[in-house]
Amino acid sequence: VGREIMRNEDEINRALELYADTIRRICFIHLKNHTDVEDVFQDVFLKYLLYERTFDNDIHEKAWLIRVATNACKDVLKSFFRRNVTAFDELYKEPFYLPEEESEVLEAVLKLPEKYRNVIYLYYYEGYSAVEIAMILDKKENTVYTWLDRARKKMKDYLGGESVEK
Amino acid sequence: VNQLKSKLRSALDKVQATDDLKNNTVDYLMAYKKVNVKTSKNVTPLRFKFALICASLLLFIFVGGVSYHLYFTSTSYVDMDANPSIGLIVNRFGRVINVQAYNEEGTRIVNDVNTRFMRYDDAVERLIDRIILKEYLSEEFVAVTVQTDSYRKEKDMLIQIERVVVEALAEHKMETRLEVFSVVEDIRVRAHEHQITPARYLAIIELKAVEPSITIQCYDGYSIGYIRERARRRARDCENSEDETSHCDSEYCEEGTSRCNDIYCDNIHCSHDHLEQPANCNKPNNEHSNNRHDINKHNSRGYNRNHSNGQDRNCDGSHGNNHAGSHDRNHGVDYGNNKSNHGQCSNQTGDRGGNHNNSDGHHGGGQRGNYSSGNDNNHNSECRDNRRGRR
Repeated sequence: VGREIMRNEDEINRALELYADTIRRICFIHLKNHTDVEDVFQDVFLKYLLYERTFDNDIHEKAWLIRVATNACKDVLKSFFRRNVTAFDELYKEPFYLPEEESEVLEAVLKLPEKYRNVIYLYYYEGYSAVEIAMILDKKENTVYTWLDRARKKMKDYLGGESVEK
Repeated sequence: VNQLKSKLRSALDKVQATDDLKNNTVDYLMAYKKVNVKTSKNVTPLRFKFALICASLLLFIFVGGVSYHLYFTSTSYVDMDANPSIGLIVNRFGRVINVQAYNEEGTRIVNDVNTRFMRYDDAVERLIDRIILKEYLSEEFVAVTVQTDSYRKEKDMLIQIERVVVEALAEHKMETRLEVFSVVEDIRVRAHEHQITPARYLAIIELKAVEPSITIQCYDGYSIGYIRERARRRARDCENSEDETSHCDSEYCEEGTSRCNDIYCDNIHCSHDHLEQPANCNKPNNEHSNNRHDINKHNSRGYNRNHSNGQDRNCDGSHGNNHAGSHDRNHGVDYGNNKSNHGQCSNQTGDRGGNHNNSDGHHGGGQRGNYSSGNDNNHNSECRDNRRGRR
């Protein structure tokens, strides 16, 4: 007897409880438009709702969601409409206060090219190793190392100090 | 590094999914789910798939088996005798599933024309065409018999076959008489057991009634026309002769119709062994095996003599009636058919002897009348054509 193809409400609530913030952060580092953020956020959980296979464990589940979220953000950024139309809420600001130092770091990250943002976030915030990042993003391990290296150098330039090292 | 890590961490920790965003997402997903309900009905476990495949396979084999059985089960038999003797075995869909040749000419025709899986009427048409082209066609007549499992089908088949043969003969401007009639299964089976067509079997049986000493083997090489003529002549001789021992079987002549019936019944049902005794062959068989010219001489001579006697009508009439009567009573089916058969016989050359309009529709009266009142020239040409056909 097969189960329902779509996940039930409890599963969705559990996933939202565990991974909503992670997905929201990925959206944050890629997107500036509030509508896009909401679209991508809902789209990621819709894919989760429709995903038929079961996950080996929570780590697998999280990695899958990160990958889906990253790809969804990329798709939005690539879209013709997004590139050619400026939404009126472009200047949307996150409704939270940051101390100056933290704000500088965050701005430096957001200034990085998209691919570097990903690796910085996954490496420094989520604590994934370069090997794991390579698997999540479906890139070569060396590519991830290169990106990390370049991202650090750029961060160093932006922050004007020695604080960014391996 | 740690500083960056902690700064980044503390900054990004403040980025959180709001409750609104979560609630909106849950609402959106539940609404989506409601609209696009997909349940486990679409999820087919492997075992179920396997069972489904097996069931389909079994169904396919079953349907295939039943179709094969239905297609390759014979329900009708069409036998034609036009010198070449050929039998068509027909399925319930009217398709020829097998073809059987009963003599040498028949084998040649069957080898020439592939009629398997054709409609029976098309097959008959092609065979007749081929027989005519090969110049195997007897000028006496073509006899086609049908034996099938339902009266309605039988009627349709008789009509169809008669139509195609008449058309084929007309197309080749052949003035050959056509007989199309049905036979009961019993007769068909017995004929096929002897490797002859039912029409020929009936003709030999007819002769057997007046000449009990003959066997089927003695006459299976002769044309039906000759066998019938001989039977008719013998019956007439018996009737006309005061000296019962000279030509006839005393049994036949003594008691008239009733004795005749007994003999006929005996031949069909009882004395099967007797029919198959080859040692009992009469003179015609020897003639046949030695020299076919003699047959024609014999035939011709006999015919002329009878004709000059001028007693045809009586002899034919009595014989025909006996024949029909006996069959009717003993089988209960066949001659009921056979009477109507003669209604369905097409006399292609019926007017040759000028007696067509006088024929009463009975076996003896109708067909033989044409023969006996015909002229010698006609008969002689039949003899010659016989030989030509047997070439």
